[in-house]
Formats: sequence, C-alpha cells, structure tokens
Amino acid sequence: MATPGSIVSQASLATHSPGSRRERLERERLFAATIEETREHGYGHSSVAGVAARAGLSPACFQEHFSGVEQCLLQALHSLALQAHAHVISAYYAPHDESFAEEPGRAAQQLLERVLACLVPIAAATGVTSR
Amino acid sequence: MPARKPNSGARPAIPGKLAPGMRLPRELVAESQRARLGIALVELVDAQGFADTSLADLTARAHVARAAFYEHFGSMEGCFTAAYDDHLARGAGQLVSAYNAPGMEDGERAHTALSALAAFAQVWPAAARVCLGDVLTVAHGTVEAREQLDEGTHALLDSALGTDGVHTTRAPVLVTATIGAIRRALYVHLRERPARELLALAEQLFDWVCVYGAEPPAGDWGEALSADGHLGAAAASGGDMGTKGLAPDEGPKERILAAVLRLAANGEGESISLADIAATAGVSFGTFYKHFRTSQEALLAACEAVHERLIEQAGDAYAVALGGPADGQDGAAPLWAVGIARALGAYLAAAAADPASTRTMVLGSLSLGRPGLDFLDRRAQALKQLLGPGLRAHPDLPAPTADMLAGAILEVVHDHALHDRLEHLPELQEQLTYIVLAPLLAAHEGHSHAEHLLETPHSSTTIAAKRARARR
Repeated sequence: MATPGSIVSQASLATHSPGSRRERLERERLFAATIEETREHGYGHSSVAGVAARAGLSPACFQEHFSGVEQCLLQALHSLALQAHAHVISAYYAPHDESFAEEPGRAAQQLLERVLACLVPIAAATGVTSR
Repeated sequence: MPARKPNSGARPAIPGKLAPGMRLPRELVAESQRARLGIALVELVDAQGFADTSLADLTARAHVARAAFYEHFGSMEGCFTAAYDDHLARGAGQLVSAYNAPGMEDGERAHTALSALAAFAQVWPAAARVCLGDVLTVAHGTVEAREQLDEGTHALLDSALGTDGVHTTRAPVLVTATIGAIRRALYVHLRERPARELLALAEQLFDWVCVYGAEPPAGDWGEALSADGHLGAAAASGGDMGTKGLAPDEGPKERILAAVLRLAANGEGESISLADIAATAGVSFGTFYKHFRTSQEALLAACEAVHERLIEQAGDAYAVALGGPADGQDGAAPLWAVGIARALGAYLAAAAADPASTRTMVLGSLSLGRPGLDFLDRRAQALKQLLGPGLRAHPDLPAPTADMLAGAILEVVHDHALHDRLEHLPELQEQLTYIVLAPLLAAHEGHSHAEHLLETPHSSTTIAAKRARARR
C-alpha cells in the first residue's frame, strides 16, 4: 500500500497550488480525463494525446501542467484521496443532527456514498495500473 | 451505542487529528487542512446558509485551528470562493471528459454531458445545492463563475441542436436561458426529491433543450409569438414603480419602502442604516419600527413590492389579451399562448422601466442570505403561476418543465441586472417568448406534429433521431 508520503513525493503536491481559475479548470479537466482514459484503456495504453483530447485541450497545454500521464494520474488520485479524507473529517465533526435519529443509517449512507465516489475512481485507476 | 453529542468532551484521536510522530510533510498537512475547510464550509452553508455560518463553526467542523485558517484564507468569503471554484472545476472536468469521450456523434455528446452533470450532482447533493443556490447570496452573487457556464452551455447547445441550426440566431439569450433552466430544475430537484432520481431529470433537460432545434411555424404559433410586438407601449406606461406602487406621498410605509429602494440604488446595499432610511423617508424611528423590525426586513419588503408590481402588470397584460381574468382561460390554446406572450412582454417592459428598483429586487435581495433565496423561490413561483394556463393545458408535460421555464426567465433578468443592461430587456421579448412558449406549444400540437417541427432545417437528421441514438 502506498503511504501518504510516497504519494506526496511523486505528486509534488500541486493539487491546490496557486494559479488562475483557468489553470485550475484545466488541471481538473486533465485529472478527470486521465482517470477515464486509464479506466477505459489501461495505464499502458493511455497517452498524452488521448488525455488531452478527452479534456478538450492541446497536448502542449497538458505539458504545461504535467510531465506525463503518470504525474497527472498520481496527482488526480492524490486529490481524490484528500477529498475522501476531508469528507470523513467533516462528517465526523458535524453537529449532532436530530433528524438522523429517526433514520440512523441515513447519515452514514450519505457519507459512504461520498467517500466511495472518491475512492471508486482510485480503485479503478489503480487496478488498471497494476494489471 | 449512545447518540453522539456535540462538544461533549474529548473525542477519540481519529480521524481528523494527525497523530503525533507521523511526520507528515508540511505541504500535505496544509493540503489536508484546505480540503477539510472547503468541504466543511460547503456542508455548513448547505445546512444553515452562508450568513449564519461563523468561523468558529467552520474550524470546529473542519478540525482546523483558527490560526491555520488564516494561513490559508483571508476571510470566510475567500474560503467559500476557493471551495466553490474547486467544486465547479471538478464538475467541469468530469462534464468535459464525458462530452469529449471518443466514439460519439454530436447529438450524443450533449446527452452524455447532461448525464455526467447529474451524476456529479448526485454524489454530493449538498455541494450542488450550494453551487446552485447559496452561491448567489455570497458577495451579491459576484463569486459565481458565469463565464465558464456560458462556454459550456454553448457547446452543449451546439451538440444537441447542431452548429448550423436556427437556434444559433438566438444563441446569447438561449444560452443564458438554458443555464437558468438547468440551474433551477436541478436546484428544486435537489431540495425536494431524492438525488438518485437526478438521471431521469437529465433526460428531461435534454428533451427540453432539443425543442429549440427549429423555428416555430407560422399560423397560431406565429401569432402568439408575434403578439408581444404590440405590448411595448401599454406595458411600459404602467411600469414606473416609483410613481404607482411606491409613491412617496402615500403613507409612511410606502415612503419607507421608496427610501430603501432609493438608498439601495445609490449603492448602499446591505449596509443601509436605519438612520439613513428614516431621514430619506422623513419618518421617525418609532414610525419605522411600527412597520419593520430591521432595515433588512424593510429591504425585503421593498423587493417584494417591486416584484408584486411586475407580476401585477404581467397579469393585467394577460387579462387584456384574453379579455377576462387570467385564471379563467385554461384550455384555450391560442389564447393562453397569446396571453403568456403578452404577460411576459409586460413583465420585461416593467422591469426595464425602473432598472434601479429591479436591480435591487434581483441582486439586493440576495444580500439578505436565506430570506433572499426564499424570495427568489417566491419569484419563481409567481412566474410559474403566470405560465400556469399553458402548463395546465398539458398535464403530460414533465413535472420540471415549470421550473425550467421560470428558471430561464429568472436567469435572463438576473444576467441583465448583473451586467447593468436591464433597460434592454424589452429587446428580448420575441426571443424569450419563443423560449418559453416553444415547449408548451410543442406539447399542444401533439406528438407527431412536434416531431415534425423538431426537424433541424439544415440537416436530414432529426433531433428525435439524435435523441434516440443518444439513449442507445
């Protein structure tokens, strides 16, 4: 299992790096496109051109953000893992909601769905990369 | 296991507190804190509104120290903007990726993109609600990233309707109206219905978009759509709210409302003081408190008065068109269409006749937070009632149609208020009337006729065929 440290070292922590709104948009488009590409075609068959086309950007634009598909994929997974972690924290420290007393499973179900939404692409992408 | 109580002593050292000795890189800790603050703020805003969310609430929920918050953000607004931008960028990423997926024809792309949008909203409904509703109440709605929405909606319309379709001549207002329709339908659905049914809503949204693939034909439709051309003079003459509904010499309450509108128009915004209101209206504090508890309450009442005036004028125009009360004309197809066209024209003309008051109604009300959002709901409801005869004549229309149409009108007015172009609203009468009536009249003419009308003029491929392919 990859430790948080190993992810960080390879992903170089650019998920929340400062930048214009457009740059952030482009990065998120590349993240989503990379995960879809690796899920559909496998990491070995994913190319910068394919990812850029799916993101609606040029390969040159891709290269402005990332050195290759691997770096983009790692940062995308890192971002998703952070999101899942933050959802758990926020749910854990949420004030007690009386309405949940009537439906004890509802809060847990909502949280689980959100965390899974972050983790499923990670599992899909990492499963592809390891095969 | 007993129910968890807030602030009931020490919590186990999971999962927010980083255990001592883990020696996580400083950058990772900072990233985690930012992500936690963003998600916690979105959850809190969804639960209680931005105005009622304190920094203490946020830091407790995110499990981040107050000092650490200020290392990342200068203010709550800054934190909200970052969280909103992040969420929007993530959604846009998934939407664009779905839209550009290889192996699809043009018509399928819009369908896939709308489904991706619904799926994204489904995962975290609280964030979707905040991005569709509460964002309007933060910094007068200027936080919202409208340019991105415009760009994406252009692509979506081109995909669904073809780049050479007649819709391109209506593109600017159709783009704005489509954004409003999608926004309103999603928002209402996320508040009132299970998120898991969002995919069905995406289908209905796609069908709604596809209606705009062709010009309406002549005949009854053309008559209804051109009727608004006769509206201008009558509507504009009664549109001055300052001289009719809120005249300064009518009484203390009306003077207070007129003063609030005047102060708001002068840029006072939410910081209108009671002293200013009293001085401008020429009333004492005691008189003010006889009618209102706070200046915010007075601002909301003034906005309500402006709204009521617009609706009243629209209702009058509808009644004139039909020669009787608006509510009694169900089923008379050509008549209700003409009535709605004229009512819409009167609404736009009245809104343009006093742009300062309309701007306060649209944007100033949102500075009030949740009460402002509730007022927006009432405005939507009133518009739905205006469209009621057309909607009731076709009970088989998808339920969200009313919300889509009301959202389309609200968005066009909101956009013009944001860009100080309210005076130009009457120029949109023909286009907006088409946008509102096309789905209703398509349903009225019946399925076979509607399919005929939906043929794209410059292509042998019909929208219906595209739609069928997209669903396969």
